[in-house]
Amino acid sequence: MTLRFNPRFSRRRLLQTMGVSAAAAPFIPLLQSAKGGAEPAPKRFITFFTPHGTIKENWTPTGSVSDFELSPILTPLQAVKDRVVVVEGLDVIVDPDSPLGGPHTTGPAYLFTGSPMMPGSEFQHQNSGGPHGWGSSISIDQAVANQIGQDTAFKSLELGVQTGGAHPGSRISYAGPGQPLAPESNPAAVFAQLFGEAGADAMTKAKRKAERLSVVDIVKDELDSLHGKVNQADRLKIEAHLTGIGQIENWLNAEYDCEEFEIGEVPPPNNTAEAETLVKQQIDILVESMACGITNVGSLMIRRGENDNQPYPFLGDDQLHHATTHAANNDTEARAWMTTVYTWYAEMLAYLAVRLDGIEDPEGGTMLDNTIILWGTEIAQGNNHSWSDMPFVMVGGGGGTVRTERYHQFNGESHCQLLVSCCNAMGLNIDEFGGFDDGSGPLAGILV
Amino acid sequence: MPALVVLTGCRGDRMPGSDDESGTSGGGSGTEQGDDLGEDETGSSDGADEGTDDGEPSSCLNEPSVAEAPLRRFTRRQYANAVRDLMGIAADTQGLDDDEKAGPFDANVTAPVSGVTVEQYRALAEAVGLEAMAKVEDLVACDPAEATCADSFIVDFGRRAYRRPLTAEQSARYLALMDDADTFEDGVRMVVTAMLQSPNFLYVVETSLPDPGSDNIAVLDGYELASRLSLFLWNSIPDPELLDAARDGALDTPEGLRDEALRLLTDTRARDAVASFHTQWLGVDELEHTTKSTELFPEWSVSMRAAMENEMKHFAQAVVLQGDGKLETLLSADFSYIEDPLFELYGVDKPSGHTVGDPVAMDPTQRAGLLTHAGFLAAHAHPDQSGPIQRGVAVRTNLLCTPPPPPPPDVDAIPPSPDPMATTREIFEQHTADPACAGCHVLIDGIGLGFEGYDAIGAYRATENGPPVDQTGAVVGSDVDGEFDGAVELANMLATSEDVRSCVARQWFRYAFGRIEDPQGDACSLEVLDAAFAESDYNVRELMVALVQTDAFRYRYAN
Repeated sequence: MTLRFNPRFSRRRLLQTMGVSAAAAPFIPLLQSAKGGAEPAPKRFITFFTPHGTIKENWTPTGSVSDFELSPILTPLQAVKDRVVVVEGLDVIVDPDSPLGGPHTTGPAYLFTGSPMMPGSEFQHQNSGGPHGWGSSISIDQAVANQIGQDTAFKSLELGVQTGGAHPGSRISYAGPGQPLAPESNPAAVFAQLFGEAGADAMTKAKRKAERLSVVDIVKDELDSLHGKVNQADRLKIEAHLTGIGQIENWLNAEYDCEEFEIGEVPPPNNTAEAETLVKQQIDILVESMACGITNVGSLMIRRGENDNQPYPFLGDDQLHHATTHAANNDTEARAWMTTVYTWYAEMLAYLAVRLDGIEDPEGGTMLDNTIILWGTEIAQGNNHSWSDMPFVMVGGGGGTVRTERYHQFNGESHCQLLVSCCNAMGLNIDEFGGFDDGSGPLAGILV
Repeated sequence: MPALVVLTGCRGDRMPGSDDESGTSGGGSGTEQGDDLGEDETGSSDGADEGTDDGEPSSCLNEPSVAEAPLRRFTRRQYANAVRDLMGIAADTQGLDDDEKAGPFDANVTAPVSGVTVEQYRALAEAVGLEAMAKVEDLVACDPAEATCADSFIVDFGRRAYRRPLTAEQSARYLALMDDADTFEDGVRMVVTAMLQSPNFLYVVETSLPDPGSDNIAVLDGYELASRLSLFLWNSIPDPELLDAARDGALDTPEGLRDEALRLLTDTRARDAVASFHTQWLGVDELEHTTKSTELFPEWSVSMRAAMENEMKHFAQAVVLQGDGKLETLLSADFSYIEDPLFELYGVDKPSGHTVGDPVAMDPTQRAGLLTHAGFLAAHAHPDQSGPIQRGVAVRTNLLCTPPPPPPPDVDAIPPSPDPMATTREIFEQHTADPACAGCHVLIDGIGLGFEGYDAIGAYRATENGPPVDQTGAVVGSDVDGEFDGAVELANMLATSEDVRSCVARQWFRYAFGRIEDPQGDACSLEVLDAAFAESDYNVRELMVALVQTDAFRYRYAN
């Protein structure tokens, strides 16, 4: 069991966030520690994406709401079952009058934004749906990050493995309408930025920081200068770039001091045979980042919605995922193979959950107790692209907000309700989330 | 050298030597814009009456007309090419996120950057900065010991990196950076690192202001035109000569643009740009992501994919830039430019003494230009079978510019598995037999099934699972409707289709501007382009030169 490095106990960091000088230090009240103390542990929120739905009969738990057994696909979560909530029966209710495209392309946007695609002609799937633009609304991870991410070096971290390129089928996170957030799919790049220079001496660190801040100043000035000169429609692009530079500035000014950690050799990020190594490395990075307060919000995207026609050779076969998902319902061989893949997805989720559970929050509980991981996929079922009865799983206690170890069977309610519940758990007092929300509020029985 | 196309522009702009001298819209600075527009209005009396051949009224009016163009950010290729041209450094852009697309072409015009993208730019700029530091001698013309050298370097490098002279403010900032540095080399590193993260490097910045009386239409200044020229024709930044031409006002007339375009087309960078247009247009740039069944196609390999891409690149640049330049040749040639392992795939004997880059005669009964390149056929096929739907859709979408309507939402658009007892044509029969499907599918399958003579990797096949392949098809919904037998016949039909010619002009428009054409705002420019293409007997090189003289190229909508 490791103790989470709590940057809030660092006087330097405290002074920084309070904007107070060292001279005032003696007058700052000491934070109380551990259980029963005044400060609760920080809550974290993580969205977790895997492609192409599931095999329903092998995913569905058996039993009742508070007395259930995990299914074959969900068995990897056994070690943390007491923090698992399985949510069955929700629908992504797509407005039929909104721009409809290919389900694998639009599903990733619908999943965590609960909103339609923007009208437009940028994307036109060759086989289905009409033209459309990017997703039209903020995603839940970003809404939560806006709420709880202001005090950390990074508001959120978007990570992925083999997620593809600049396409709605490859994006689950949105800062706002038409503002997709790309995940970083190379663990080496994230590691290099967050932890790579930890070993350098103080003088080198200071010099680098000063250099980088002077570059930030120049780039900011130039962006500010351009903002008034570009066409109105383009100002958002300048603003988004300023936000990005602001994130770099935050990172430079943040004084996080994480325990040394090795990521191991990073395989080529596009090597499908190495997906498991890459996923675990991204998970390690995310967990370590959260452990030392770099961020409290993350998203982890495994492969992509449009589409994952890739093999999983480390599972013992060369079959291509997307093509196989179109097997008929009575194709037992194909469905057995898919079950293996989806069980592997649950294993990766379990890896994340167990790592979080292995780190104690000094304020009380483990990191997993104080986190909500929300696992979703872009469609319910591969061979009919259905959005009915979507498979959702939550893992984590949410800092005492979640009614854990439950199996809920809903009946066609909008998945936006689940998004609302998660937001509520994270301190966002809202009643609806997303353009597909039907006003029904949070989902019954999810939260304490 | 083929005859230059006389471009009669939207407002009756004429070639030099005509009696209407006011037809040239000279003057590069904003203060002269009003005068130019005024001159054009009074001077070109029959501009508005310039009709098309069939007597329809022209889209062109007395004022320039343009669509609003979104702010563009460099694609990965453009970034890499810019760094190559600035410093001779090969930037590793693998770490940059993929580009968006405009039609089939890479273009970052829609989504704003993510935080991840900005961070990727930082990491890359720092890496390039370190490389620059190691070759300061090559990058800096002056003697670092001289007091003025830092400033000289900043002015020269900055002009090329930003594609316009730095402002005094910008220069001062960079000079301060160099002064703060421990050594001159360190200062160069800092300047490079900072400039490569600047929006003035990463975006194609266009901020020229409209004349107040002109309804948001601005004349692009010389530097903005220089950037557009080099981005289009080289997929990179202007060279110093082009920047000088901009400075001297040489780009402020259509003739000046034409002259520089012709110069740029003689550079090797133009070959890359022409090659890149074709591989993107026909989906061959996606080949590296294309998997094929290892059982059925063990010969499918990295080197095969590379050879296929190279074939299209070599062929396209040879025809367009060194050959007759004609669209008809591109779409029906009986020669190509191939290398191993394609000789075996195509069933062509390698001529003795053949080196890569030599033209090769193909079998004219099997191959006729781009649509029969193995790369095109393989990119539009499945891992384990041919792809009549994909090929049909590709031709409709990218050659006829008429993408078929999408299937109804409840249709499962996954092909049936290959059947050893049936041909591909047979297993797709439902498309045309079922009245619910036939309406659209006759548009698609009619063309796509005509490619059945080529398997999933583009190799010719006379039989499939026993019986001879039925390669017949029928084109509908175009100006060259009719039946055909085999892709060679289809290629020859399309090679002289007016619909294809019009579509190809629009694809070049999209490639040049990184956006889809706007039917209203770009109507005049497209009309002029179509006319120029026709006048040149459908010469792609002439089309490119005509493009840079259109209103869409020379003006911008500014608000």
